[in-house]
Amino acid sequence: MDIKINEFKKVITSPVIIGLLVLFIIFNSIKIIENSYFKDELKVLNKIVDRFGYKIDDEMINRFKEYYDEQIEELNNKIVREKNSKEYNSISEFYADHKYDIEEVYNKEEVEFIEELGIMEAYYNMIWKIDDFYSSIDIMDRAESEILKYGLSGKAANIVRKQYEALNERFHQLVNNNEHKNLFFIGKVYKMHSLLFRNILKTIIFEIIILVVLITAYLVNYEFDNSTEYIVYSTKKGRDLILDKLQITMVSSILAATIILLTGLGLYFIVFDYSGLWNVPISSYYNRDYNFPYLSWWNMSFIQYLLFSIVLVYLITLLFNGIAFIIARAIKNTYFAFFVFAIIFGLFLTVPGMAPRDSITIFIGGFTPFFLIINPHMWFMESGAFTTFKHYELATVGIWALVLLALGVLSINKFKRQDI
Amino acid sequence: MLIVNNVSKSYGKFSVLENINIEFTNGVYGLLAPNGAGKTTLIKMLTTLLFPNDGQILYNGTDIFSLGDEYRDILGYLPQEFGYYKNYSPRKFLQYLSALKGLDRNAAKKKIDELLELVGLEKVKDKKMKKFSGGMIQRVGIAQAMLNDPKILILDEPTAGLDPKERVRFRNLLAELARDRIVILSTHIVSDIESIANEVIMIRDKRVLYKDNLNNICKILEGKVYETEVAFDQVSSFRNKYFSLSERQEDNKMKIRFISESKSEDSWNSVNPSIEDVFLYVYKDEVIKEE
Amino acid sequence: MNIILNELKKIFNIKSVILLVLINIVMYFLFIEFNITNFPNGRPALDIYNMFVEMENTYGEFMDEEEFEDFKLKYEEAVKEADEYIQSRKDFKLAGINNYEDFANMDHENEELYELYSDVVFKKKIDVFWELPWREEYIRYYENKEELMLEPSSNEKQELRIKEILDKGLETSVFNDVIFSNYNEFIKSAAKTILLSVMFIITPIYLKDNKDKINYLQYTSKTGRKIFKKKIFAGVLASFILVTVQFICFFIMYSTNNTSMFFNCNINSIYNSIISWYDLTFIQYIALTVIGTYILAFVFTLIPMLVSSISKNYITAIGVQLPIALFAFTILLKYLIDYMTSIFRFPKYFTGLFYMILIFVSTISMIIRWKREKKADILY
Repeated sequence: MDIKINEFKKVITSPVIIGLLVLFIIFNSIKIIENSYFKDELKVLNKIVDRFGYKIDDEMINRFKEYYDEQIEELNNKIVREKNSKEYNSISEFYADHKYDIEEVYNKEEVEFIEELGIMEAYYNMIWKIDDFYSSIDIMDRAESEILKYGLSGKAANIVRKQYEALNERFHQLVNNNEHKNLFFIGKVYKMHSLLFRNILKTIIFEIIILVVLITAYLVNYEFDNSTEYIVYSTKKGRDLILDKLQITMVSSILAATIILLTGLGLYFIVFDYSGLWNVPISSYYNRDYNFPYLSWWNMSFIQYLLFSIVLVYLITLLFNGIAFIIARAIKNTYFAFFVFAIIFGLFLTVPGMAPRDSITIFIGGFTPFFLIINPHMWFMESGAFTTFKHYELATVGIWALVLLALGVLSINKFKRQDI
Repeated sequence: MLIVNNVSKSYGKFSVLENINIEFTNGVYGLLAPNGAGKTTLIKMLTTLLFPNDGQILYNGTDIFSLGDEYRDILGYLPQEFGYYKNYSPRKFLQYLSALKGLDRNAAKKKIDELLELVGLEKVKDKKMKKFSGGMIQRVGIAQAMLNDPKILILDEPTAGLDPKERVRFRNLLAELARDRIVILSTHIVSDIESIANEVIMIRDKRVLYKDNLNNICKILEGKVYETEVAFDQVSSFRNKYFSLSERQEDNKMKIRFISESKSEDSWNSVNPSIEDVFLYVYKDEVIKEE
Repeated sequence: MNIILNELKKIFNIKSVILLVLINIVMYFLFIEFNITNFPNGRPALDIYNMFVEMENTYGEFMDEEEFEDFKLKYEEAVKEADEYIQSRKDFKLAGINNYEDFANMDHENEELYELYSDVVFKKKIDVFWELPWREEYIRYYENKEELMLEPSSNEKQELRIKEILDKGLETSVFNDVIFSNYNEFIKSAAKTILLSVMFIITPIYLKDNKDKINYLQYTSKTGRKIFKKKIFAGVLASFILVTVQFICFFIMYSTNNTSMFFNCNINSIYNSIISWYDLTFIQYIALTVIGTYILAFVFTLIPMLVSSISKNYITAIGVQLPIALFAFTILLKYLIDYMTSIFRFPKYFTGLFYMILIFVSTISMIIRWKREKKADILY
């Protein structure tokens, strides 16, 4: 145990690793705060959900409508009446008339009321669009446009179609469950899903990977770099030490990942109030950031999606830990090892695109951890021609875990027999 | 002539050498002291790697740090541990260093071949050094120290990696070289010093304790070194009374070489003190301190 | 100098060179390749490109009032071509679309009409229908050029400069954003690759010898600590060689984009996306970005040198330079290379000043480091 603690000390006393960790935490915090200018607007949704719940069914719609009508009346009677005699049917009508001078004409309370009602109106109006929008969605059409976009044909195109057929079934299930009929932060305006799962989570993942590679290369080749290899590997523990080193890199990687995730996500949820919204299905219509809505393969609530994503981040951390270990063992020089890692990373991102567009080999390149981390905001969901497979994430992690395990064992055995 | 004039060196508050005064002329000097006594510090100052806090080091009257490259031009240095480029052959490595030493390319080529032959590496002169044994690397080190035919040759533990045969060879080489240059040898291997050193310098308590030829130094213990045989069960109590220099098992008894002010027993044999005896005696306090 | 040559050989050792090539290949395919193989990128970029090639051919570097009339004529011809095509199709006639004007005013919300539209534009991809909307736009631009040029200015200095451009008639230059933005994307990615390569090859320069205690032998030789200075020269020379080789390769690739006919066209065109403080032609702009990259490469040679001479191991050197590199590749390049000399980005002399400050600070830091090394105790 002492041995493990000593190895661990080597990691945590490295000023570079600690320094980078701190730098990353600061950077993430800045990123979150920079993007938080609209967080007060988001609170309007919390209020709505407090009042009516997030589930959009007939009862909820009625209550919402009632409330909304009341508010518009109040707008007309109490607020507008005093200044001019016009009557408005909606805030957008109101804004059309009052382009610039709202703060001058109305007092602070009134302005607040108007702005809040305006936001509420946006949520309200979207309710009527849901059915039309979802009935206009043709999953197979999307498949075809994806096929066209990437110039796929033959077997490759068929595989895409097959996956989207399965997705289609899920889509119908989703609509039947009314998963999409749930309130959530308006994606088109606030893009919260992209913010959290792409902007922030992707940055976190890359930071974790950088730390994992540095920690692993550092520890694995430590004795060689400090000229203590003759002494250390001839002790009783001897070459078995490499197993302890591997274990400690895994522990350190998980620790680093935890620290970054905790501080990053922690700050995020302090800044952005999600109360009342944790159980909203992730496939909610409102969540849509761009043209195509988020379609998860399973009925997941936001909190479930978040937790599964976090678990996936940890699994990815361990995968990269394994990759770094094997590379560091193979390439003794830590400097070159780092760049070899970067080159391999780059190769795994570019080579898949060179496969012929009609063969199934073009999909193989997508099932790598390198590809997996490109779009964390589309995990477990429809995500384009190359990654829309129901068990994409699981398959990638599973296959690579086995491969890395095998390679790792080979690497360790080679070390046991190697001349030092 | 190389003069160390009242030189002191400390690292922060920790003083390593104080008021060192030494004059070197042509010949072989053995620098003898336990580790940590300041040997390496002194050597690093002589080779311009460290700067003295006080005092000067003068070569032919001028401060060596002002002389700069003029001084280093006549300096040859073999460090205790030195690095090399694993993928270079000794020839390529020596070529690299000869450029740094300001040697003309063609003259250097010739010299390199000569030196490699001198140290017995002519058969592997184009092989990559990563395949060399420790002793072979050491020999490359000796060769590079002599590339520029230095007037001052400083060798820190030069025979450390060499086998007895190589050591003899080396000693002979040095003896010849020392005729017209200053050779400073820092070593623990007493036999190196015994055979070739003109003078021995001992450093203790941050200062120069002795600087004299071997005979005079050994005279310190004249008439005080004895040998006798002691039964095994009495060795321990014997050690408490007298300072033991070495012990050897012989005919079921322990033959002990030790120091005593006078001959207390007839069975004791008086022997001639060796430089090793003096070393152990001079530094015995420090040895005991460590224990 | 023999010593500097030896150091160059050490910098360009075989293992590093192999990795360097691999890094460049990967960077090329990740970032640069797209800008080369997909130029012009889709439509209407292709049509605009063709339009401007024709314009340059016929009108030269500028389109004056007379030539503009000709441009309008070309538009009319294109409209006629469109009319003819529409009239040749029965389905258009049935839908009540009889000429291009009707076509342009079609209601895309109407399913039937949208079908016809996408058939012509997306399925059959008839050139003239891609071209026409942009010919119209560009005619409008030309007719309102003073107004449009002045619109984005937000302070007096910018306004003055725009007026200067208008006085000289530079806004009628035959040059387009399609070409310009493609070049900027390209040069940004090329600069990224160059800086990364330089940092990679230079970082070991002091670290390696210090780690392996070769400096004991170097510093006690006749050359002594001057080796430190010689390494600075060797490093800068190595970077220069590397950057030049890379630029040659990158520009050979870029030449396949066929934009050389626009080299002498001024970039301050109404059809372009930049208004510059200076009357630069395209080739001058290219030269400016190349010089800028050389300067950045110089600075990013000194930085790894500094880090290399103080770090004890490679992990430290990498860990310290990683944030620096990331900062450089995102923010620095965006402000110092991308759309250089734009009046909306910085005041007139700011960019030049900033470059000088970079050179100054890095050089002074290196000089200070060198002075320190001359007097430093070599403890390890």
